Amino acid sequence: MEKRHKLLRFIAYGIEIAVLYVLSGTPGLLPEIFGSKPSILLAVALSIAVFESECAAMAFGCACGVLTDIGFTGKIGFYTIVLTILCFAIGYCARNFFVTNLLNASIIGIVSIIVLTLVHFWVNVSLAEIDNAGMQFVLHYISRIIYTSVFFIPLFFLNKLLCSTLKNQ
Amino acid sequence: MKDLITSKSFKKLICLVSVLIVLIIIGGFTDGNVLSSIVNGITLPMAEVSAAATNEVTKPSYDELYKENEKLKEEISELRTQLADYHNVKHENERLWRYYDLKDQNPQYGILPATVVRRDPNDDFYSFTLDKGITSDVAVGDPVVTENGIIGWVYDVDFYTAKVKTILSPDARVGVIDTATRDSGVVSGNVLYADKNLTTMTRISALNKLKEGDIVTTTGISGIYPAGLIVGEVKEIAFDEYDTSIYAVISPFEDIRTVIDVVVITSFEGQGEISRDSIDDITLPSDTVAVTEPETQEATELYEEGDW
Repeated sequence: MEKRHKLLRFIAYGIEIAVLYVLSGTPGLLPEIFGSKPSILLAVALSIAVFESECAAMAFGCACGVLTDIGFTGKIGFYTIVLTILCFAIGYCARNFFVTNLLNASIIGIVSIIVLTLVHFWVNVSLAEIDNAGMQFVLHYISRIIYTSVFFIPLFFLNKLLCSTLKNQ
Repeated sequence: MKDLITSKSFKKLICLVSVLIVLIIIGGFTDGNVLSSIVNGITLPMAEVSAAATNEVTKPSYDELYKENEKLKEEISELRTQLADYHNVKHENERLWRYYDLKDQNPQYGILPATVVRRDPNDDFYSFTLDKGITSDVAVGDPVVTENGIIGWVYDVDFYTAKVKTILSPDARVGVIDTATRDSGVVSGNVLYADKNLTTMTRISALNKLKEGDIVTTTGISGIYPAGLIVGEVKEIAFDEYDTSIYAVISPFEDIRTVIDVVVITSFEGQGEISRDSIDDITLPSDTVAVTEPETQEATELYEEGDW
């Protein structure tokens, strides 16, 4: 029975990821704030990772990373590797070191979003020596961090609901 | 820490990361986007439905259309009044309209209509994904245009979709020429202007005669874009505060940030061939306007007054 619930939960996560992948890229659906849109898949991967074991977190982190990379460059790369490792670490920490509540999850999620966005900026903008990199950071990346962090909270509650419903049944 | 390193799950992580690194390396050496094709093949129908639904919701209402229609009618009326006394300008206006009819004027173009199904939230320069891919003969490097001018180029393609970078991106390198003054340059995006649907024309001569309102078109020298495609009009001439070079801010006629329906030019005369002509020797297509000096006495007076 437990295995069946686990399978149902993973299917629900899969559907959630697929739907949000499509919605995040739909033209004109999500309004831009200061020229940037949220990286919803980032928030999804992190919000799943705080509820699951390290292996499951790693698998969903990998899936979200693959989709993010395919949407961005068409090939797997930066996000696939980084989200796989990061979600594994979050899953491990969540199981061993802290209680999963909104405060803890928000701190971990938002710090992870900031770190990931900064690394993304460093790899894609700073190393590429694009002109006005600082301006690009101020104009787009700060707003993206805030926008993505805002999405983390409802996704945390959604995944909490999925997790509690399909664990307690 | 020791427990973590010796745990089964950590070994699984190492295995997965190793596999991913191998896949990334293989992906870097091959052109085939199998994974991308699979993902986009599965999600394309959902993306199309989602894009169509959003398009329906964001369509203007009847009242909005009516008001816009009335406003446009008034503007047309004003423009007609202004143009009534300027036959030469009117004639030029008619010729400018021919820009919009690319297909009729350029039957050698292979044209493929496509729809934007995805806009990547991680890209600051409004790149997007089209619903046409290799199966529709789309190839990397194909120009993407609308009736209002050039939008960008295909930089990645899989079986079902194609990714397009826009001329708002700093990666853009489009050789352009001012149809009025014959000044040449390279259109490349700039982070300072991308949000406002503006791009920049760089590498222009210090002795340039560019002025606001000039229309710039592609030169076609590189063989990547056909010659004579409209890029936009000069909005202002500016100086780079770091290297004091001159650049022109170009305003495309299409709002690239929100464009939905586009056309991919899959083939054209001279595609992939590097022209050996100099800029001055470029022969623009018949629909491209190059402003010449006036021939009639009346027109000469207008020209001297700056109204030509």
